[in-house]
Amino acid sequence: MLVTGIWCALFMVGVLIDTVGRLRPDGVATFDRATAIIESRITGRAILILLWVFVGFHLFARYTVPHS
Amino acid sequence: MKSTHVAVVFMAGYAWVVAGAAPFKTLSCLLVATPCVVFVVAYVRMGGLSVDHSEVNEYFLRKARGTTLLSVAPWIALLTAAVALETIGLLLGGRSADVPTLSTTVDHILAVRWERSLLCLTWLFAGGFALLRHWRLFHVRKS
Repeated sequence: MLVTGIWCALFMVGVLIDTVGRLRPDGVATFDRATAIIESRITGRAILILLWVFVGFHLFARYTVPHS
Repeated sequence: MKSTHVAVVFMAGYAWVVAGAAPFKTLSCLLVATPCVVFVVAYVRMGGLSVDHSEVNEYFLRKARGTTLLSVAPWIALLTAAVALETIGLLLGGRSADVPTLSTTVDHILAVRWERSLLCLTWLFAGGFALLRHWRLFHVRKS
Protein backbone atom coordinates (compact mmCIF):
# COMPACT_ATOMS: atom_id res chain seq x y z
CA MET A 1 0.00 0.00 0.00
CA LEU A 2 2.88 2.34 0.88
CA VAL A 3 4.59 1.76 -2.45
CA THR A 4 1.31 2.24 -4.32
CA GLY A 5 1.21 5.63 -2.58
CA ILE A 6 4.77 6.29 -3.72
CA TRP A 7 3.77 5.54 -7.33
CA CYS A 8 0.89 8.02 -6.99
CA ALA A 9 3.27 10.55 -5.41
CA LEU A 10 5.72 10.15 -8.31
CA PHE A 11 2.89 10.83 -10.75
CA MET A 12 1.88 13.94 -8.80
CA VAL A 13 5.52 15.11 -8.71
CA GLY A 14 5.55 14.77 -12.52
CA VAL A 15 2.44 16.97 -12.77
CA LEU A 16 4.06 19.45 -10.38
CA ILE A 17 7.33 19.60 -12.38
CA ASP A 18 5.34 20.22 -15.57
CA THR A 19 3.32 23.00 -13.88
CA VAL A 20 6.50 24.66 -12.56
CA GLY A 21 7.98 24.32 -16.07
CA ARG A 22 5.02 26.23 -17.51
CA LEU A 23 5.30 28.96 -14.88
CA ARG A 24 9.10 29.24 -15.06
CA PRO A 25 10.14 28.15 -18.58
CA ASP A 26 13.75 29.29 -18.06
CA GLY A 27 14.27 27.26 -14.89
CA VAL A 28 12.51 23.94 -15.47
CA ALA A 29 11.66 22.14 -18.71
CA THR A 30 8.08 21.01 -19.27
CA PHE A 31 7.39 17.37 -20.17
CA ASP A 32 6.88 18.41 -23.79
CA ARG A 33 10.25 20.20 -23.99
CA ALA A 34 12.07 17.41 -22.16
CA THR A 35 10.73 14.77 -24.57
CA ALA A 36 11.52 17.05 -27.54
CA ILE A 37 15.20 16.35 -26.82
CA ILE A 38 14.55 12.62 -27.29
CA GLU A 39 12.34 13.25 -30.33
CA SER A 40 15.03 15.30 -32.06
CA ARG A 41 16.67 12.02 -33.14
CA ILE A 42 15.12 9.25 -35.25
CA THR A 43 16.24 6.65 -32.69
CA GLY A 44 14.48 8.59 -29.94
CA ARG A 45 11.25 8.82 -31.93
CA ALA A 46 11.43 5.09 -32.75
CA ILE A 47 11.95 4.26 -29.06
CA LEU A 48 8.94 6.40 -28.05
CA ILE A 49 6.76 4.67 -30.66
CA LEU A 50 7.89 1.24 -29.43
CA LEU A 51 7.16 2.33 -25.85
CA TRP A 52 3.66 3.46 -26.87
CA VAL A 53 2.99 0.12 -28.61
CA PHE A 54 4.34 -1.80 -25.60
CA VAL A 55 2.10 0.15 -23.18
CA GLY A 56 -0.91 -0.59 -25.38
CA PHE A 57 -0.33 -4.34 -25.47
CA HIS A 58 0.79 -4.57 -21.86
CA LEU A 59 -2.18 -2.68 -20.44
CA PHE A 60 -5.06 -3.54 -22.73
CA ALA A 61 -4.27 -6.94 -24.25
CA ARG A 62 -2.23 -8.66 -21.55
CA TYR A 63 -3.41 -7.30 -18.20
CA THR A 64 -4.23 -9.37 -15.12
CA VAL A 65 -6.54 -8.12 -12.41
CA PRO A 66 -4.88 -8.84 -9.03
CA HIS A 67 -6.72 -11.06 -6.54
CA SER A 68 -7.10 -9.38 -3.13
CA MET B 1 -13.28 21.32 -35.65
CA LYS B 2 -16.11 18.94 -36.53
CA SER B 3 -13.65 16.25 -37.64
CA THR B 4 -11.84 16.58 -34.28
CA HIS B 5 -15.11 15.95 -32.44
CA VAL B 6 -15.84 12.93 -34.65
CA ALA B 7 -12.32 11.59 -33.99
CA VAL B 8 -12.73 12.02 -30.21
CA VAL B 9 -16.13 10.27 -30.22
CA PHE B 10 -14.73 7.48 -32.40
CA MET B 11 -11.73 7.01 -30.10
CA ALA B 12 -13.97 7.00 -27.02
CA GLY B 13 -16.15 4.32 -28.61
CA TYR B 14 -13.12 2.32 -29.68
CA ALA B 15 -11.62 2.57 -26.17
CA TRP B 16 -14.91 1.24 -24.75
CA VAL B 17 -14.79 -1.74 -27.15
CA VAL B 18 -11.10 -2.45 -26.33
CA ALA B 19 -11.93 -2.28 -22.60
CA GLY B 20 -14.64 -4.89 -23.09
CA ALA B 21 -12.38 -7.51 -24.72
CA ALA B 22 -11.04 -10.25 -22.48
CA PRO B 23 -7.23 -10.15 -22.03
CA PHE B 24 -4.87 -12.76 -23.51
CA LYS B 25 -7.31 -13.44 -26.39
CA THR B 26 -6.87 -12.93 -30.12
CA LEU B 27 -9.59 -10.27 -30.19
CA SER B 28 -7.92 -8.07 -27.56
CA CYS B 29 -4.58 -8.37 -29.39
CA LEU B 30 -6.22 -7.44 -32.71
CA LEU B 31 -8.06 -4.48 -31.14
CA VAL B 32 -4.79 -3.10 -29.76
CA ALA B 33 -2.75 -4.00 -32.86
CA THR B 34 -5.09 -2.10 -35.22
CA PRO B 35 -4.41 1.45 -33.90
CA CYS B 36 -0.72 0.53 -33.50
CA VAL B 37 -0.44 -0.45 -37.17
CA VAL B 38 -2.45 2.61 -38.31
CA PHE B 39 -0.26 4.91 -36.20
CA VAL B 40 3.09 3.42 -37.24
CA VAL B 41 2.20 3.24 -40.96
CA ALA B 42 0.90 6.86 -40.97
CA TYR B 43 3.93 8.08 -39.02
CA VAL B 44 6.41 6.34 -41.32
CA ARG B 45 4.57 7.53 -44.46
CA MET B 46 4.85 11.12 -43.23
CA GLY B 47 8.60 10.68 -42.92
CA GLY B 48 8.71 10.51 -39.13
CA LEU B 49 11.40 7.84 -39.23
CA SER B 50 13.08 8.84 -42.48
CA VAL B 51 16.71 9.98 -42.47
CA ASP B 52 15.96 12.24 -45.46
CA HIS B 53 13.79 14.59 -43.40
CA SER B 54 16.24 16.50 -41.23
CA GLU B 55 13.59 19.24 -40.76
CA VAL B 56 11.74 16.88 -38.39
CA ASN B 57 14.85 16.74 -36.21
CA GLU B 58 15.21 20.52 -36.51
CA TYR B 59 11.59 21.04 -35.46
CA PHE B 60 12.16 19.14 -32.23
CA LEU B 61 15.53 20.81 -31.66
CA ARG B 62 13.82 24.21 -31.99
CA LYS B 63 11.22 23.06 -29.50
CA ALA B 64 13.89 21.94 -27.04
CA ARG B 65 15.89 25.17 -27.46
CA GLY B 66 16.99 26.63 -24.15
CA THR B 67 16.66 23.29 -22.41
CA THR B 68 19.71 22.60 -20.26
CA LEU B 69 20.78 19.61 -18.22
CA LEU B 70 19.81 21.57 -15.12
CA SER B 71 16.30 22.28 -16.41
CA VAL B 72 15.66 18.59 -17.18
CA ALA B 73 17.29 17.42 -13.91
CA PRO B 74 13.90 17.10 -12.11
CA TRP B 75 12.68 14.77 -14.90
CA ILE B 76 15.89 12.71 -14.73
CA ALA B 77 15.50 12.42 -10.94
CA LEU B 78 11.85 11.38 -11.31
CA LEU B 79 12.70 8.81 -13.98
CA THR B 80 15.56 7.43 -11.86
CA ALA B 81 13.23 7.05 -8.85
CA ALA B 82 10.61 5.28 -11.00
CA VAL B 83 13.19 2.93 -12.55
CA ALA B 84 14.63 2.12 -9.10
CA LEU B 85 11.17 1.35 -7.68
CA GLU B 86 10.25 -0.76 -10.71
CA THR B 87 13.55 -2.68 -10.47
CA ILE B 88 12.99 -3.44 -6.76
CA GLY B 89 9.43 -4.56 -7.54
CA LEU B 90 10.63 -6.84 -10.32
CA LEU B 91 13.41 -8.29 -8.14
CA LEU B 92 10.74 -9.17 -5.56
CA GLY B 93 8.85 -11.18 -8.15
CA GLY B 94 6.84 -8.50 -9.91
CA ARG B 95 3.55 -9.12 -8.12
CA SER B 96 4.59 -8.37 -4.55
CA ALA B 97 1.82 -6.82 -2.46
CA ASP B 98 4.37 -4.79 -0.47
CA VAL B 99 6.40 -3.44 -3.38
CA PRO B 100 4.19 -3.60 -6.48
CA THR B 101 5.58 -2.71 -9.89
CA LEU B 102 3.95 0.08 -11.88
CA SER B 103 2.08 -2.56 -13.92
CA THR B 104 0.67 -4.23 -10.78
CA THR B 105 -0.38 -0.84 -9.43
CA VAL B 106 -2.11 0.05 -12.70
CA ASP B 107 -3.76 -3.42 -12.83
CA HIS B 108 -5.98 -2.35 -9.90
CA ILE B 109 -7.35 0.48 -12.06
CA LEU B 110 -7.87 -1.97 -14.94
CA ALA B 111 -10.28 -4.08 -12.87
CA VAL B 112 -13.26 -1.89 -13.82
CA ARG B 113 -14.31 -1.49 -17.46
CA TRP B 114 -14.91 2.28 -17.46
CA GLU B 115 -11.53 2.90 -15.80
CA ARG B 116 -9.88 0.61 -18.35
CA SER B 117 -11.74 2.51 -21.05
CA LEU B 118 -10.53 5.90 -19.78
CA LEU B 119 -6.95 4.68 -19.60
CA CYS B 120 -7.23 3.26 -23.12
CA LEU B 121 -8.66 6.57 -24.37
CA THR B 122 -5.67 8.38 -22.81
CA TRP B 123 -3.37 5.95 -24.62
CA LEU B 124 -5.16 6.56 -27.94
CA PHE B 125 -5.02 10.33 -27.36
CA ALA B 126 -1.27 10.16 -26.75
CA GLY B 127 -0.74 8.37 -30.08
CA GLY B 128 -3.27 10.58 -31.86
CA PHE B 129 -1.68 13.76 -30.54
CA ALA B 130 1.79 12.70 -31.71
CA LEU B 131 0.38 11.81 -35.12
CA LEU B 132 -1.57 15.08 -35.43
CA ARG B 133 1.51 17.11 -34.54
CA HIS B 134 3.54 15.25 -37.14
CA TRP B 135 0.75 15.64 -39.73
CA ARG B 136 0.81 19.43 -39.23
CA LEU B 137 4.59 19.44 -39.62
CA PHE B 138 4.26 17.27 -42.75
CA HIS B 139 1.81 19.75 -44.36
CA VAL B 140 3.96 22.77 -43.49
CA ARG B 141 6.88 20.94 -45.10
CA LYS B 142 4.87 20.19 -48.25
CA SER B 143 3.54 23.74 -48.71
